[in-house]
Amino acid sequence: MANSTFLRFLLLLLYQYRSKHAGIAVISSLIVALLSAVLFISQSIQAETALQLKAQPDFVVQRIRAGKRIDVPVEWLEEIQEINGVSSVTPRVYGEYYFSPREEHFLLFGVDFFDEQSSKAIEKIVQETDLRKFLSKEQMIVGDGVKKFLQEHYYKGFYNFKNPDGEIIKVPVYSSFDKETNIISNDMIIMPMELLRSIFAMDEETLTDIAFNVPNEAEWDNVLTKLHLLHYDIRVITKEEITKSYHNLFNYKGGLFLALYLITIMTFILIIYQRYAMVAVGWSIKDVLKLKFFETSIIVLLSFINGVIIAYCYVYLFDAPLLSNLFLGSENLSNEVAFMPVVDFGLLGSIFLFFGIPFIAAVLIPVWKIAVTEPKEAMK
Amino acid sequence: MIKGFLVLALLYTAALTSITAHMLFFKRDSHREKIMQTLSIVNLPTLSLSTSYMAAGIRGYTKPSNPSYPDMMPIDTMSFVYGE
Amino acid sequence: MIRIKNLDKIFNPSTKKAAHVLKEINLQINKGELVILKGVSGSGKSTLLSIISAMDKPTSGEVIVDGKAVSKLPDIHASHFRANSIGFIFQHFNLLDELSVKDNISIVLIPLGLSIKTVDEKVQKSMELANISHKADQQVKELSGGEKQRCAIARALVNDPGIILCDEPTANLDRTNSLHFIELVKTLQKMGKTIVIATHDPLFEEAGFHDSILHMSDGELGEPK
Repeated sequence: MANSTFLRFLLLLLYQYRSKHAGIAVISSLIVALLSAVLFISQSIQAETALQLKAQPDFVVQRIRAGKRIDVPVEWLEEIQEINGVSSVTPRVYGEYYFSPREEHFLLFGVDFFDEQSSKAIEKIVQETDLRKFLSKEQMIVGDGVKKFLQEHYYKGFYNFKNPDGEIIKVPVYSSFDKETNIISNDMIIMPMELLRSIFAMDEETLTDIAFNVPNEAEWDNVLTKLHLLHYDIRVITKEEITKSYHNLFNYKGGLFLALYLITIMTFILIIYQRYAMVAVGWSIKDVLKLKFFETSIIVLLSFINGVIIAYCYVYLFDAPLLSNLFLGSENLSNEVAFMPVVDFGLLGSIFLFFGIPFIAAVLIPVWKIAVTEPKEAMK
Repeated sequence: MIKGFLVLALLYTAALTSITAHMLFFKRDSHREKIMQTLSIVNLPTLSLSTSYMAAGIRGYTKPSNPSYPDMMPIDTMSFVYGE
Repeated sequence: MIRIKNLDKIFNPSTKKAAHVLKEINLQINKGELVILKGVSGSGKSTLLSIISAMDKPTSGEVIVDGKAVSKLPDIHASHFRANSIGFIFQHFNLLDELSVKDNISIVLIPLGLSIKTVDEKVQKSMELANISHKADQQVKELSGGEKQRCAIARALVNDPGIILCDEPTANLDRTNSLHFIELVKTLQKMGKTIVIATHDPLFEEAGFHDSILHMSDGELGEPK
């Protein structure tokens, strides 16, 4: 900025008309903050999802009869294991348990504690877990949301499950998951597989479904055909389908930018156009546009930084109260997720461009138009 | 006036620096490790979303995909993700 | 010297709303002359001033100032011409209310790329000339009508222009302030400035310091008196 009188005048205008500028900046900051917050939350959840998709098995096999899912017989395990190229075949026993008075549900998961990998992981993830002690009785480990729910409903350290035959099964709470894993464990209850079978009155020789991997991707189609030949009532869910389902779940970007445009246009209506009589006192249109450009750019930049700072603090320091419900839902157990900071600078740059360019244009175009076509305006 | 602008610039620098520091020093690895360990217990990677059981995962899809077979839920519902 | 040849101005030409506001204007104002342009509202006085100052372009004809056809200048040169040769005084002063007197005056000099020191010196000099330097740091919104007019005069003088154009300069002033303004104009006349005042205030005529009075009516110029 070679011309320092220009800079001095620019700062002077910003300072003297600070209340008007602050008004515009506050509205713009809130718009940017809202948008950035939504993006931060969705990015954080998407990052977590990506992490989970890594752990997702390549295939899940279920049994469908008359369009309804039913339990899978244990023999299927061996049949799948015999298919060439298949590895890590894992039986899964789990299900939704309804807490009917409140229409809420927990995800009950049966764990085979004799499985070495599961046992090690439990010892690490749940603090103060003595596996022997845990296994000595029929107990459960609950997620943070379930823990709070039980406390709210006066279940002190236990819950009375009712099996389909109407029998009450009292299960004490042994421990709870770390709050940091709320994003996946909030509504989760893990318990020994046999206990879970008795709650759901499942046959001992059945499983909910079977998960397995096929490391060689070229074999996927082949394995799929073989599976369908095994049983007529088999339903195979591939990792791709689940990935797609998750992508759809948080693919808000398109809609967001549309909303951004609409809101930005609304803001422009609020901008009070200030007419400067500068053309009459020797300013060229270029000079007026230059001044307006810098003035608006500073406001846009400051609003953008404000918005991002507010959004960052709101999402990553205060865990996005209210807004997180939009993403995580609020119909079931409320989930207090500590979001992992993920900042996509490319997306932030896009927000800046999508927000800044129309903003600056909306100020400069009328200024230019009046300066060019209405010389009398400058004389009034 | 200039002093006011300098104070403002200083405040912004401080805020941006602390955010950058928070982002850089966040213990991502331990967070990831905990999640992965939890996943390795249950072998069921699903998000613990607080949606009602039959709620659609995608807005707009509140009905079964095929009216002739209402039991056959589309794969984008939470019931699909969670299993029954 | 200002020479105006066969000047015509039509707003919205070739439409139903076409308005012929200046018709065949021919005029010559010599250097150092003070001309009063009289006429009712809407007679075309302000349009003539805006064309002389190269803010507006004529439909046909031309305006030559010191041998230069200013009516044909592109915007960048026209603004340069205004910044160096024209001082404008408006009916509504056209000052930025939130800024101080000296900041308002300095606006004219900003596009010229002068140093801060030179700008401050020029502003100080013109404030003294317009007798407003005691209010230098006061915001314009706190000034009286007469003080605002003096601030506007200081702004018109700060670039030391050869020509000063005044559009209804006393319309918003009381009699005392109008007389003060006339005194100031007399000083400028003595300094050798070419001055054109568009007004229907009889005070200017009564003061008797003019070189000629032109009557404008329905876009046409009457005989000089």
